[in-house]
Amino acid sequence: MPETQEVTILLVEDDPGHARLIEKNLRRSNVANNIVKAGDGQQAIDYLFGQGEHAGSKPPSPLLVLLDLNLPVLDGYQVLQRMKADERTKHIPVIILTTTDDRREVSRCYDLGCNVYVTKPVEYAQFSEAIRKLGMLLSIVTVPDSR
Amino acid sequence: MPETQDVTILLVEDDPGHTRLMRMGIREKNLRLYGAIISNMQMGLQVYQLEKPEDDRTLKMIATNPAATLFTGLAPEDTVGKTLDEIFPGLRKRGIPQIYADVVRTGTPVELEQEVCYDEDGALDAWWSIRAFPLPDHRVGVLFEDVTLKKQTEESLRRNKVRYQAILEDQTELICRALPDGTLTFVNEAYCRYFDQEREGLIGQSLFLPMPGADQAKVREQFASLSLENPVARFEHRVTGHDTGHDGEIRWLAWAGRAISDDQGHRVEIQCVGRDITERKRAEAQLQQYAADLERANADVVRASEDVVRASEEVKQFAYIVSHDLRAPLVNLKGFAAELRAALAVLGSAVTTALPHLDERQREEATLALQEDVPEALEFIESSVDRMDRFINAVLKLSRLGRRELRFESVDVNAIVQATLDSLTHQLDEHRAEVTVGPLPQVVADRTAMEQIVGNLLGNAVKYLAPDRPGKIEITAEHDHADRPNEVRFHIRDNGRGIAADDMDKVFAPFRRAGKHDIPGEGMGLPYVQTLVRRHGGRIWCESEPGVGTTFTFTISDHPAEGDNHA
Repeated sequence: MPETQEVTILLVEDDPGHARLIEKNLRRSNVANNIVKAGDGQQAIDYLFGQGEHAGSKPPSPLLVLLDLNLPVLDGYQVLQRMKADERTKHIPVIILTTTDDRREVSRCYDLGCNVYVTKPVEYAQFSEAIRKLGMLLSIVTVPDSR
Repeated sequence: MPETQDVTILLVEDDPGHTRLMRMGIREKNLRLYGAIISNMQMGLQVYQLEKPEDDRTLKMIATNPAATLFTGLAPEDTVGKTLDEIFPGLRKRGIPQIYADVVRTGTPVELEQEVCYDEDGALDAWWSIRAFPLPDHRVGVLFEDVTLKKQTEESLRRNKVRYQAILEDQTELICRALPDGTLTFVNEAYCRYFDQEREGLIGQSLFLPMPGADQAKVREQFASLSLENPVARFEHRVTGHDTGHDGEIRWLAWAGRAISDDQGHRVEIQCVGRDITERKRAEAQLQQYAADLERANADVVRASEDVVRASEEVKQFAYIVSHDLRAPLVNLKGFAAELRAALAVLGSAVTTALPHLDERQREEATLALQEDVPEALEFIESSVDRMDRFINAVLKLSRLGRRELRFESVDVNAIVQATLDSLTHQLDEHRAEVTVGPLPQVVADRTAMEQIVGNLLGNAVKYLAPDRPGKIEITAEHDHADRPNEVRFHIRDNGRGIAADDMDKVFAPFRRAGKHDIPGEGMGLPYVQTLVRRHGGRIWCESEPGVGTTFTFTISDHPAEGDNHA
C-alpha cells in the first residue's frame, strides 16, 4: 500500500513505556510507517509547526497524530485545540489514545475536533488488541496531504 | 426754693363757677401758653393747699387739670374746694395726706410709685406714678400718671424671667450663652455641675477651653458661621475628662447652638443647649464594632463555605486524577509483564534445546528459573497490578458517585427492598435467614442511589450473618423524630457476627474491612453507601455488638435541599 506507507505517525505520549508498547504493538500488526515520538504537548506543537527545536524544518506530510491527553507542559486538549485552530494543521487526523474513558472527556475531545477516541485498556491483551485494531485502521485510512 | 421761685406755676384755681389763671410773677402771654400745656398734658395735676401747717387733714384741693379729671373720674366741681380726705378717703390708710403735708412742711419733693385705690370700694385700683412737689404759700403740687399697664408688663416680664430662669436652671441639659469668640456670658446649673465649677469662675471663660485642639478648631468654625441670618447649628465635640470630674476619660457633648441678640439688642450671642452623648457615642461605636464583627464573621462563613466547596471539589478532582494517573504505570507493568512472558516462551524453547549441554547444577538452576522463579515473579506482578487496578477502579467509582447527577423522584423503598431480597434469595436460604420488613414509606430520592444503598446494606447484612445460627434481618422505617420532622430513618438490623468496637471507625473508610477477611469484597461498599446517603442530605451510622448483631441506620430527607443534585 504505497499511499499509506508514506503517512508519518506522530506519537505524542509522555510515558515512554506506553510509547514503546504502542510502537511494539503497531509493528506487530504490520504498521511499517515512520513513527515520530513527542514526550509532551509542547514538543508535539514544535514538531507540527516547525518551531523550537524543530525550527526551520517542515513536518512531513501526510501526517497522523496519536495523542495522549494527560501530558506535561501542554496537555492533549491544548494540542488538539491549537491544531484545529490553525489552517496548516486542521486537516491532520488526530486519534486520541488515552487511559481516560470518562464520557465527558470523550465528548469534549470530539467537540474539539478529534477524529477517533481510543481508550487504553489496562488489561494488556485488550491493550494489544486495541492497538492492533488501530493499526488495521491506520492501514486503510486515507490521510490528506498538505503538500 | 429758688427753682420753684423762678418757675412759672400755672394753676387752674377754683373760684366757684370760674376758672382763672393765677399769675405769679409771669407775663400774661406765657400764662396762656403754660395753661394750654397743663390742660393738654397727659399727666394728672392737682394742687392742694395745706391750710393748717400742723394738720394734714386740712389739705384742700385748689386746682386740677383735665388729665386728672380723666384719671380720677372726678370732675373739678366735685373736687376743688374739698379736702383730700373728702375726695379720696382711702388714701389716709396709705399715708398719702401725711406725705403731701410733709412736702409742704419740708419743701422736699417726693416720688411715689404706688398701688393706689382712689375709691373706697377699690374700684379704681391702679398703679400710679406720683410726684409731689412743694409750691409757695403752703401748697403742694401732685403730678401723677397711670402706670398700671407698664407695671403689669413689667410684672409679667419679671414673672416670665423668673420662670425662664427656673427652666434654664432646672434643665438637665447644659445651657450657656457665649459671645461669638466663645466667652461665656451665662451658664446654667447643669453646666456648672457638669464641669464641676462655680458659675462665677465659668463666666468670662472660653467655651472652647475643655475641648481638645482638633475639636476646638471645628467648633470655632461653626461658631463663626452663626449669625442672626443663619442662626442655627449643631455640633459635637469631645471634652477631656479632667474637667468633667469623670476622671480622665474622654466624654462627648452634643450642642444645638442658636445666634440671638442680647437683651439690649446690641450684640450677637450664641445660646447653646447641650447634652452628654458619651453613652450614645459608645453605643454607636459598639454597634459599629458589632457590624464590623458581623461583617467579618459573615465573610469568614462565606470563605469557609467556599473553602469547603472547593475542598470537596478538589477531593473529587483529586480522586479522579489520581485514579487516571495511577492507571498509566499499570499499563506498563501489565504490558511489559506480558512482553516478558512472550520473551520467556522464546527463551524457554531455546533453553530446552540447550539443556542437555549444561552440567547438572546449571540445568537445575536454569529449569528452576525458567519454570518457577520467573513465572512466579510475573504472577505476583500481574496479580498485584490487578489488585491495584481494582482499587483504582473503586476509587474512580466513588469519585463518579460523588459527581453523578442525581435525579430526585418519588421512590417506593418497599419495592426496592423486595427486589433486593429477591436477588438475595439464594444466600438467604443458605443462612436459613428470616427477613422481616416493616411498613416502608415513599421517599423523594434518586432511584439508582436508593437501590445501591439498600442493595449494599442488605447484601452486607446477609454476607456477615453468623453461620452457626439461623439469620434474622429486620428492615424498618420511622418518621417521627421531633427535631427532624422531614426525615425518614431506615434501620437494617441483623443478628450477624457484629463489629468489634475497635473496628467501628473503619466501617465507612475506603478499602478498610473489619473483622476476618474471609468474605470477598473490595471494602468500598459502605463508602459508596455513605457518599450516596450524604448526597441525599442524609446521615448514616451503625451500632453493633460482636456476636449479637449490627444495626445500620440511615436517614433520607423528605424534601432534599434544592441544589443538592449538582454533579
